[in-house]
Amino acid sequence: MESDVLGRIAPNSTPVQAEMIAYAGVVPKVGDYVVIDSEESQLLGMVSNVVRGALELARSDLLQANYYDTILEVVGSPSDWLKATIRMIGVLSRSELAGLPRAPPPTGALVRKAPADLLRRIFAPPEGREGIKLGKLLTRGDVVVHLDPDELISRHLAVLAVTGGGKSNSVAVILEEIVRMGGVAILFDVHSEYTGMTLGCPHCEVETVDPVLDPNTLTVEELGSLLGVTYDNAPKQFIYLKAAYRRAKELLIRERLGEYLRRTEIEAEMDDLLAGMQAIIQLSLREKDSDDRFLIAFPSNDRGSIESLLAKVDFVRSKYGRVLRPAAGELVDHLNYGKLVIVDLGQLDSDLTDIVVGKTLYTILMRAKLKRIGRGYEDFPTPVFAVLEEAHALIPSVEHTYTSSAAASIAKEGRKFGVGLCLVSQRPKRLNSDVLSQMVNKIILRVVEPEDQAYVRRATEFLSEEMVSYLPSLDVGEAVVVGPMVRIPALVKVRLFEGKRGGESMKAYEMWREGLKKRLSASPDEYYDSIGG
Amino acid sequence: MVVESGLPFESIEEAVIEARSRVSSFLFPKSGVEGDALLSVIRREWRGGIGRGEIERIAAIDGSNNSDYFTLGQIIFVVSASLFMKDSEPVVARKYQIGVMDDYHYRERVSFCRETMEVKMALRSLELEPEILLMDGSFLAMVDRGLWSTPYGQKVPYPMRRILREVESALGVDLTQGLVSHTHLMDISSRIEEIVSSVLEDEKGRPPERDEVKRAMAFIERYEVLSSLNELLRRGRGTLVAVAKRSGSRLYFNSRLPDMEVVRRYTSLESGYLSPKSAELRFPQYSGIDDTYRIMLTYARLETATNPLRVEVVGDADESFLEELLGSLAKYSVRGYPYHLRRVHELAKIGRDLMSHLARNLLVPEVSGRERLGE
Ligand SMILES: Nc1ncnc2c1ncn2[C@@H]1O[C@H](COP(=O)(O)OP(=O)(O)O)[C@@H](O)[C@H]1O
Ligand SMILES: [Mg+2]
Repeated sequence: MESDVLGRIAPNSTPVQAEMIAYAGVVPKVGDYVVIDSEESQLLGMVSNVVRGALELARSDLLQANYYDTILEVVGSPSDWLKATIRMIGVLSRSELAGLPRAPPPTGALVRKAPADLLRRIFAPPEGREGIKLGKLLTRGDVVVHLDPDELISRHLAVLAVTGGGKSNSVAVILEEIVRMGGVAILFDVHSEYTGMTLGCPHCEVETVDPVLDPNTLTVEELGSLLGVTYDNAPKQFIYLKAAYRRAKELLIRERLGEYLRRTEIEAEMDDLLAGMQAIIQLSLREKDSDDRFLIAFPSNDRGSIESLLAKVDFVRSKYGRVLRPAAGELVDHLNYGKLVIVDLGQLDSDLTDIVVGKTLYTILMRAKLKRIGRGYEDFPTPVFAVLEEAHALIPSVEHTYTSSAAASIAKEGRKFGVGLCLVSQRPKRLNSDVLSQMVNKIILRVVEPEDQAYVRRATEFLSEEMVSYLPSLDVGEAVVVGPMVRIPALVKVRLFEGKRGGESMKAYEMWREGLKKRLSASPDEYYDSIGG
Repeated sequence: MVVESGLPFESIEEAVIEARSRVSSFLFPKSGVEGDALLSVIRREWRGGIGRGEIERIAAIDGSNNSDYFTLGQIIFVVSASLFMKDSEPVVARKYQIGVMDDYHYRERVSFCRETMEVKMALRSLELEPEILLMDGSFLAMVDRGLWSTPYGQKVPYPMRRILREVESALGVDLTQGLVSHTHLMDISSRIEEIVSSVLEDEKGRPPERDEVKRAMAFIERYEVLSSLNELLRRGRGTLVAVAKRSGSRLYFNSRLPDMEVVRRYTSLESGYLSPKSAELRFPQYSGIDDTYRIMLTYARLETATNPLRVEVVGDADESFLEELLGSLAKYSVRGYPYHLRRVHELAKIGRDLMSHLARNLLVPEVSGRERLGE
């Protein structure tokens, strides 16, 4: 018997799924690919489950292993049987892959291991282009898996796994490959995990930038959500905020904002819009009923609202002073070809993170759009690949955030304008499901929590019940990869990122030893005491 | 509208409840005298505990049969016999016999075929020199079957002796040879039918009735079982053991309850066995076989809290051999039953599903679909 022959198709096959009875001694592996000889063509399938038994031990009343001992002693080795479930992937005609078969494979059809050169062709980079070299097939160490960058950008990506499952490593691998190709990438690094990251190719550039927001570039809605003042929760304050915004903007254009700032004790640059707004509100309260048209007139019983608005502006300015910097330029100005921009958000609280990320995503989308329709920003580098770590915090399922609406817009329109999104999360079930299901490409590493598994399964085509049940047993860096960026679903061993990346696993023991050595060498007496000298 | 007939219209539940008290007093008589007597016999004869035996070369034989109407009046049957022996490596063998017969007491006649095959498989396996040759069932029961299979009472009528002689010389084979039942082979069976018809016509001076012919043929089929068994008992003395899981025999206690039920009810749940009782195996007189054999009969529970087994040993086994035997069986028992027998049963088994699949799809594929009965 040829060594790649596995078994034959059992009755009750469907165009989607079939069971295979294995030849004696053959043990197919979950996740491996098989070729089924169907009537006119061949079908490609994947082993999604394997069940095994022994004829002599198949009795429900053998409830003590001692009985197994007795039986094994009498029969020697038991007659093993093995049944595998095969999910159909597509029809192979002249080694081209088409969609699912319309008819089930015939009962008794021969099932063989898919040949390595067929799989190599399927996972090769797209014709005439480079691919993103992600890793190797888990069941075939000799087949390298490439992702199609076009599909990656246009259908987005979710990277899901428990902490330590290998998400950041997968992201690093993909980013490196993209930048190597000349790609444009931005990574929102919530936990300062990637600071100090390097990429190992000559033209590859990595720039870590501190998050800055030029208040002058914020819309009144963006300012409102930073202040916690929206039309919905504080309509009166929002109206006054808008009034102050409009007046400050006009003064800025007339280069007269400085005048108003000087009339208060507010310390700020002459062109700081938010400071200007603070000055206008303060002066409006102080000089009520003045006929200066740049001050705001209000009825006396609104004084309370305006005072509290003033307090909020003051609070936000002092709290976020380091980040809100006029004329600092925008984060997206750092984007370029062959370059990765890492936005280090480690120091920011969640509100400001939300604004920074949401604002940046909107700006990227807006510029890409304008460039595309020929209304400016000709030099804005596109397509852009934007990666969000801790996506469940920024795009949660329960509340609406600024980032979630920005992400939803990109998920919907990014494809047209060349903006690809990548969401990374260890709590998939807390991630907004609408946005997640639009991340059609998925890299799913080890996922343990049953609710997370169920959630991932609902959001993912092809992922079968059995495959989901294997997710907890995946090792670090082993992933189910699905979506158009791979031509067929695959179980992949992601390669280890070769460059340097921050945020690797804690090395507590070494750090303690190191620290102790330092302390003891600083005070030699203690050292001699400790060794009993 | 339903009109009452004036006759009863019972509900099954009420009828069952009504019958319940009578059923239970029949099954569990207020034991009194008999129960006490049985209990004292058990106290005297029961040997508690079974040690570990050293016998390793244990062979087991079992067979199976299944049959189905092929057309009205014709039966297709499939019979098997298997051997399983544990040596250094397991040894297995299996033989099938497949045929068609007329619908005349076919269940009994298919059983004859199975018994012949089991006995012959046992005979052939003697060459492997097992220390113990286990058979499923009972030797005593094999010679003392139901009412129908003693068609001629105690006397064999003259024509039967003549038929037997003529058949044996016409066939030119020793009926105890081989692995299959010669008398069930289809071509031989046709020749037997011719011989039977002509001898009967000759003896009676008229063409025989169909029943007379068939009855004589069944006699010859059964004769093959008995003569093969005689050969086996003769050659296998000292190694032959029959084990039954179920038995209605009353030989040991001679009570209204079957022996097996007495042991089940009146012994504790521990392993153990009854001191053996000796019995004599005699062939029915009509067979013309005069040999007799001593059989030691006992009931044993091989493991705690399992059902007892009926055990027959051929020959004058003493109690120490019995202990060694039961100890060796217990060593390889799974849930109270010797695993060798279980395994050989699995090898021989012919399930209903398999039977109808074979008949429908493999045997005579052209006679299928509507032409087959019961479709
Ligand atoms: N593909 C891989 N091959 C080998 N080791 C890996 C792989 N991916 C991750 N690791 C190891 O596991 C550790 C945690 O991986 P990481 O990507 O930081 O997990 P996550 O981001 O999911 O918390 C890394 O420090 C690395 O040593
Ligand atoms: Mg990580």
